[in-house]
Amino acid sequence: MNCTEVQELAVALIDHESIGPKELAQVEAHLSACSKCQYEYEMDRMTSHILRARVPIVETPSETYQSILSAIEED
Amino acid sequence: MSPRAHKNDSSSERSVSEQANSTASHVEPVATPSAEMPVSTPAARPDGRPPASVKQLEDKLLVQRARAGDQLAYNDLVKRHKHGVERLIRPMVRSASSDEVEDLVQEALTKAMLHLNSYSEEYAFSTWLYRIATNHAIDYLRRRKLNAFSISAPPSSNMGRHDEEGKEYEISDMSWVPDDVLLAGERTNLIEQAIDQLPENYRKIIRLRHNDDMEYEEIARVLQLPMGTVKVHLHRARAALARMLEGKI
Repeated sequence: MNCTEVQELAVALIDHESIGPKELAQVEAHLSACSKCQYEYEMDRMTSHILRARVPIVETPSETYQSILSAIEED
Repeated sequence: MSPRAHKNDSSSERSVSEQANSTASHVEPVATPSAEMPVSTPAARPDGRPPASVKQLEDKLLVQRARAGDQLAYNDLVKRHKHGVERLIRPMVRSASSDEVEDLVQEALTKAMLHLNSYSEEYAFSTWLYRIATNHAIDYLRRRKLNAFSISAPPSSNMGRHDEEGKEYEISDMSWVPDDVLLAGERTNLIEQAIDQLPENYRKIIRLRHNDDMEYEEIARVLQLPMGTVKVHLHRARAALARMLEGKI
C-alpha cells in the first residue's frame, strides 16, 4: 500500500467511516513504518477534532427565555 | 436615536408631566413655592434628623401641588431633578448609548410622576425619586444581561459525544473540552482565517465537508473529482491547516 492509498483510507478512519479489518491492518502497518504519513495522519486527526469542535451558534429555545424571565421576576 | 428618546428638553418635560397629570384628579392650581409660597427657614426635626434643606421643602410643596393637579408643578419637579437622575443613572449603565441613557432618565421620571401618590413626605423627594431611578437602571441591566445570554450560551458539554441512548460513539481519544466561550470564539476566528489562506482546491473541500457537512460522494459530485482524490485532498488540506494553526490555538 503506497502513501496516497494510505491517505485515502486515513481520512475515512479519522472521520469514523467504516473500513475493513484488512485495510485497517495495512494502514497501521504503513503508519508504523512511514514517519511522513504518520505525521500527516496526526495533523489531520488534530484538525478534524478542532473543526468538529468549533462553537456552533445555537438558537435558544423560547421556553429557555421564559424560564429566565420568570427567574428574574422571582429575584 | 431611539424612537422613545426626546432630544428637546422642554418637550420631554412636557411629555413626562402631561402623562403624569393625565392620571391625577384635577383641582385648582396653587402658586409656585418661589413666587407666592415662600419657604420658611428649615428647622431641626423632632426625630433628630438633620433639618430639611430649602430644596427639599420646595420639592415637597411642588409634590403637593402636582398631586393637586398643577401641570407647572410637574414640570418644575422634572426640571429640578432631571440632571440629578441622569448623573445617577449614567455611571450605572456605562455601556449604554447616550440615547439609551436619555430614555432611561425619561422613563424613570415618568414612572415617578405616575406614582407620585405613593411618595411619603417623611423622606426627601430626591431619596424616593433616586430609588425609583436606581431600580429602573437595574431592570435595564437585567434586560441587557438577558439579551447577552442568548448570544453567548455555551454548547452542551456532551455535544457530539453520545448518541440518543447515551452510548459513547466518538473515538476514545476525543478529549477536547470546551474552553471559556470567549476563547472558543477566538479559536473559531483563527480557524476561519486559516481556512481562508488555504489553496482554493483545499479550501473548497474543507468548506464542503466541515461547513456544509457533505459526504465524500456529494463533494466528489460537486467538485467533479474522483472520490479517492476527494479523500486524499481532504487529508492533505486538514494536515496543511494543522500546520498553519500549530502554536496558535
